[in-house]
Amino acid sequence: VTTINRALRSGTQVPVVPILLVAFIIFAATTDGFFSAVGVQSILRDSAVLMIAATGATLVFLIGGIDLTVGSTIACAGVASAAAMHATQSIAAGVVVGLGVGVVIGLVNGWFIGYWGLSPFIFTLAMLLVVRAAGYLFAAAFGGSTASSIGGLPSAVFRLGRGVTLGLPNVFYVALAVMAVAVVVLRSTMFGRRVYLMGDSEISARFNGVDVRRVKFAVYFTAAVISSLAGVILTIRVGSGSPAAGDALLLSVIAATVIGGTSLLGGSGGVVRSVFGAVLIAMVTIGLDLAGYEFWDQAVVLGLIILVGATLSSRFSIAGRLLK
Amino acid sequence: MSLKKSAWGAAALAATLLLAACGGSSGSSPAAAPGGDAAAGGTYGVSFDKMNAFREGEQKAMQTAAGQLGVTLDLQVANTDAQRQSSQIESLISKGSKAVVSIPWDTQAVQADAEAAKAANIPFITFDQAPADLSWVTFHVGGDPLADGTAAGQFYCKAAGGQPFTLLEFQGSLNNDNGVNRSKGLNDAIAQGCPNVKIVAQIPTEWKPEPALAGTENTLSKTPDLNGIYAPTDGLLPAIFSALQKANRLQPVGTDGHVTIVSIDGDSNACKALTDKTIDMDVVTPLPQMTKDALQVAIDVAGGKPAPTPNIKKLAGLQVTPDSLDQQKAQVWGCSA
Repeated sequence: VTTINRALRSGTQVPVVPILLVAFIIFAATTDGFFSAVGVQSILRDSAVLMIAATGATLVFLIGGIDLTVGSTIACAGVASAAAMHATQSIAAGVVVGLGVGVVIGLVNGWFIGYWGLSPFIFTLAMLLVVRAAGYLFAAAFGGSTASSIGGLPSAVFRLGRGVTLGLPNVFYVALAVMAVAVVVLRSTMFGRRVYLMGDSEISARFNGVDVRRVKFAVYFTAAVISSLAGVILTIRVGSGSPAAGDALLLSVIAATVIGGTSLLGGSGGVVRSVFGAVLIAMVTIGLDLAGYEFWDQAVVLGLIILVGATLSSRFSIAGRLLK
Repeated sequence: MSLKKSAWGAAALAATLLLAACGGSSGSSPAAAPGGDAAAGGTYGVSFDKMNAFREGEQKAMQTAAGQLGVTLDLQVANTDAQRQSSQIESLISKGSKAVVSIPWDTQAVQADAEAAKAANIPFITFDQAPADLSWVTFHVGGDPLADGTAAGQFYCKAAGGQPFTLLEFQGSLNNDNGVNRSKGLNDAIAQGCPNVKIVAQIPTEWKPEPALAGTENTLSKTPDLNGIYAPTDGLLPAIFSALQKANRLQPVGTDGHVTIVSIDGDSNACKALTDKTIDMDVVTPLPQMTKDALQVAIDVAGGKPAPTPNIKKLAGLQVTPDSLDQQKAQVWGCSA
């Protein structure tokens, strides 16, 4: 009984895993090229950017907030990073500049939402447009009037972005590292406990002496920096920085978080869940690509997965609380 | 909702995935045609950047060409996502495609895709959308956006006849070669040939009709006697017509109040507009030749022949007017769509 109870409890920690396994088995059994080293590496490689971005988004969701600048930050940081790499032929310079973009956006988001008390939805919606425009303007200025993507990156970028170490894509290790750090911070630090407490009830957190404004600032700042890292990794992955790259990522990030089972209302969920949600999205997308489906067919399947996945995650979360 | 209902939901999802995984084959095109043995020629990976009416025309032309050349296509659509296109191309290579034929979404990111193909020792051909650097690819065949834009500009010069002429210019996507050069060709031709033609507004559309609708309405409100509209893609025509109709300016060619329209592509919108005489000229992209050339080079190089030099071929569009449509209809690919 104890073993069953333990299994149930661990299952409720990451409720999307059974869906992930079922989907993997179905595609592996039915789709040519899916269950192969290249197939699995493609899934992990394509998951990496989404995993990183979903980690930042999860922090924001855990305090009951929302950050709509995710996609724009990824694009803008990716463009800046590519420009720096192009100009210096140094990957390190690109990483620093890309993260610098995230720092600036994070300071603005954190300050206005945390200390000025502006609505996260409205403020980050405005920032989404501003940051997206900044990405296009930067690309246009760099590219000489056309807002094209920026290439001409050092050749090491291609080896890094597409390469594999010990059987796993290089960029996937970065995503794992980001996830691991976030897990440790959320589970083992005072800051992590305050994040969950704020998500449960901001009023309670305030009564317990939590400096709510500071936590909000820290969360939005960290989320933007993590998003900018996702932008840098995207640039390294594809070998260019495009201002249009983040357009579709916002919805994917939210979908990964929701499928994973993190509550949009705050207080419940975690980074590991969102990461598995991201892997599920990448896996289904690649599986359906290999099966020869058009993207509109894929959208229907992904919609169903979001619906069922989020529902299952919600049910398992409740069951998990009852088992505690 | 109970856990039992959730379980039913999970079962339904699993069934959906199973059906999806088992049923998918729309991307592969056996493309068998009389005289062509599809299986004998091998499979060629095709990677589209997105899907729209123009790409559907390209897909159809590509499938026809594959049938004629006796090969099978494995088509993937990246839905305007560079990372996804890279992943799809990696899959096509790993599945054993004899060559990859691609319309790149990101003209810089395609470098890494081409290098992946090179590492696998297979040809990498681009068509329609040129990469930023042609040295990356085995071969590129596309339209000639500069020549097409120039043809449009020269047409407006002729239509103006030395008189003052106001023109609304829609632009495509300014982050790719086709968008930039279709605009540049128009502007250069007008600047050099007819300073009496005044471009009253330049509106980027990203190839989408919504900005064309709003742009036409707004320009007509500011310039009610607007003389001409330039559409760099036929996909904008329905939106432009809608706005003109609302302003009672949608008149056939040759009648009072007609707005002179030149468009590019040659899709079904253009075919209908030429038939209805609502546009003055369409510069028809030779899709069948473009797609066949791309596939032919892929087959040749995969078969051991050297890559063509130079490794680019530009195909200028065919200029079709309502008066010449009957003679040229067979070459307007949108008329057979």
